[in-house]
Amino acid sequence: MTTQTADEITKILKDRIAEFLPSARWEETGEVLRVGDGVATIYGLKNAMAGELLKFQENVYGIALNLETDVIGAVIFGETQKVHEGDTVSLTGRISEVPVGEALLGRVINPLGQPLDGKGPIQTTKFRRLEIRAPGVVQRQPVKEPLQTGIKAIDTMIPIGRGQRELIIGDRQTGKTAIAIDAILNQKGEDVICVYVAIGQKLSTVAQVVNTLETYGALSYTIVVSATASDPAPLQYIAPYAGCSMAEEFTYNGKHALIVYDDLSKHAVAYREISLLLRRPPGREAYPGDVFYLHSRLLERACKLNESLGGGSLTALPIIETQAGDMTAYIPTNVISITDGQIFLESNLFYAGIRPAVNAGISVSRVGGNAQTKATKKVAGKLRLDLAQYNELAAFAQFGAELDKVSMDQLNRGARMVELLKQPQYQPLSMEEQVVIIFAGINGFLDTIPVSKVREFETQFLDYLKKNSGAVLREIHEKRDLTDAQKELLSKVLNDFSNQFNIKS
Amino acid sequence: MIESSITKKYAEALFGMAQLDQQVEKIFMELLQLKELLKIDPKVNEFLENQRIGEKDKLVMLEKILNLKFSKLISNFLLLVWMKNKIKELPVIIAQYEQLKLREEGKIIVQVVSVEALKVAQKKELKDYLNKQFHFEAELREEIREEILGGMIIYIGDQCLDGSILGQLAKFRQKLIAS
Repeated sequence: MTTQTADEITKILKDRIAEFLPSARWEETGEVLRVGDGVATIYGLKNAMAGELLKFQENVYGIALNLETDVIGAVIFGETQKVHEGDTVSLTGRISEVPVGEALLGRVINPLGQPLDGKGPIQTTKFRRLEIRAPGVVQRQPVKEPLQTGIKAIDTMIPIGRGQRELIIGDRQTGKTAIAIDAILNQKGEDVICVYVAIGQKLSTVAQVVNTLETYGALSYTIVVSATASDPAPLQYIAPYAGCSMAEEFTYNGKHALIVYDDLSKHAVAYREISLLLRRPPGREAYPGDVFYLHSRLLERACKLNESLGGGSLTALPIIETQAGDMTAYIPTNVISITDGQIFLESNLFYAGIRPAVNAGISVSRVGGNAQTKATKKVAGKLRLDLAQYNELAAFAQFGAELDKVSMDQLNRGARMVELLKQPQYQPLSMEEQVVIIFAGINGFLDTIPVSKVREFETQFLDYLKKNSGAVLREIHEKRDLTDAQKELLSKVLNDFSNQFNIKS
Repeated sequence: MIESSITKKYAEALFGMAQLDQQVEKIFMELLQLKELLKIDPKVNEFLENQRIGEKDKLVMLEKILNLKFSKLISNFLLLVWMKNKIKELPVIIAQYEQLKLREEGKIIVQVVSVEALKVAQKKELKDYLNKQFHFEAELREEIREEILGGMIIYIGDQCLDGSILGQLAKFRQKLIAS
């Protein structure tokens, strides 16, 4: 925290007093008729634009949302208590904007761009509108580069591309935020700017996330936008749009950005609150009619720009919390239909010790496959097949039926693959590491090893490989492909290592 | 005063009728009388709001009274306003009628808030300024409000020019506490 001495403060005040010039200008004004719950009804302001920033007294601002015949419905940011009935409201002529730019990196801010971390004011002169139209067809190009999350189960089976929107969905306590945080941590050194938007979260959770990011050195390329449960609904409502604008600043400057909306269910709830207070008619589950548009216009802003616009990208990872696994509720179905795929997390998998608790069967990625590296593609196909066969047989095997050898082999292989896909938090793996490990799995090098030893095998093998044949890893990393020669070499190394490992254990 | 688009429709209708009959000024005078009547005599309001008197009886009574004192147009208008249950909006309708009348004469109401009454020279200066700026003749409505400390606030419809000391102090305060 920057500290200032009394002398410095006096000097600043003196400067400001000297600078002050009395001035007056014509303003269009209105009058507050009703106020409460973060919403005000204003009489007058006939020329207000939809979404225009309104200035209340005492430096409180709001946004005009409902433009009706004689009155305006507006949401108030900040302290509603400072706004009274009969107060004057004036138009600012500006559509709501947020500060953007490099100065925000490493900061924790509220959706209005005001710092919350006590690291001093944010020095930026650039602003972007809160709501802009998503780029059109001409401005885009197909998703083609991978966005590595560093999580084996995701990068191999549900790959995410830069510019994609991949939903993370699951019950509470299934590790949704953990996946998003891991994805952010894995962007270290990848030149991807990350934005984490906390909507309606507990302050303690946000503090924990910030702490994690700082510990693992990820805060320097991350912006945390925080609208916690204690903030008024209007702030929670604009939080994802604010975060998106901040991320877009990088996207439109040719960089890659990743934004996490944690989570959109609470965003919908905040919007429902505002809508009901503005007396908009409620629809299904009391959400307003435009709750689909609320999320679709937000997620449509994720994009991969074409080369003439710099080729930047904005990848979105929205998070949705389901209640007791109910995917068919209103908001989950909406967001599932908007996004380019989803990662389903299940609590029974989580409690069975399969973490990340990804249900590979129903998780999909509709565009990420194009972005996968050749090397990953070569191993991922077989992995999916092995797992699918295992899941089918596992249900069958529970009856205790006698199984033939082929089935038993498939069961054994599957159990090891499931074990192989487990991964602790905050330990992302690079693409080449993932490839060699999956390669070992699908080619049966693990079949002779007890399931309980699989993870031990994995870590030791990676160490062994780095020590003895580091060149293979580097080659896969550079060429992004797995050639036959490399496969042969890997098989040889794996054979040697398996023998050693078996003798040791 | 809160004007709604509905009351405006009433005012426009009445003004249009008055224009047809070329009685704009006369009707306005009668409207002012009516306003005074409603303001001064609480018995009128009491009678109008009394629940025990039937709507039909009220109508008959009203008709009789109105025919005595007011022209046909005004009494018909009032009966309409009464039947549409808009009698409470009458002051607003009258004010809007006045605005329409002034606009027809090329004048616009300008509300001036100051600490003490403006001198004749000041008024003239202000009128000249407004005429130069916006090309209309200002019909000044003065209001004395001591808490603005000095200077003046000018309202033209929704537009507001705050040149009061109170307003400047508020700006100054914001400037000092801005981060």
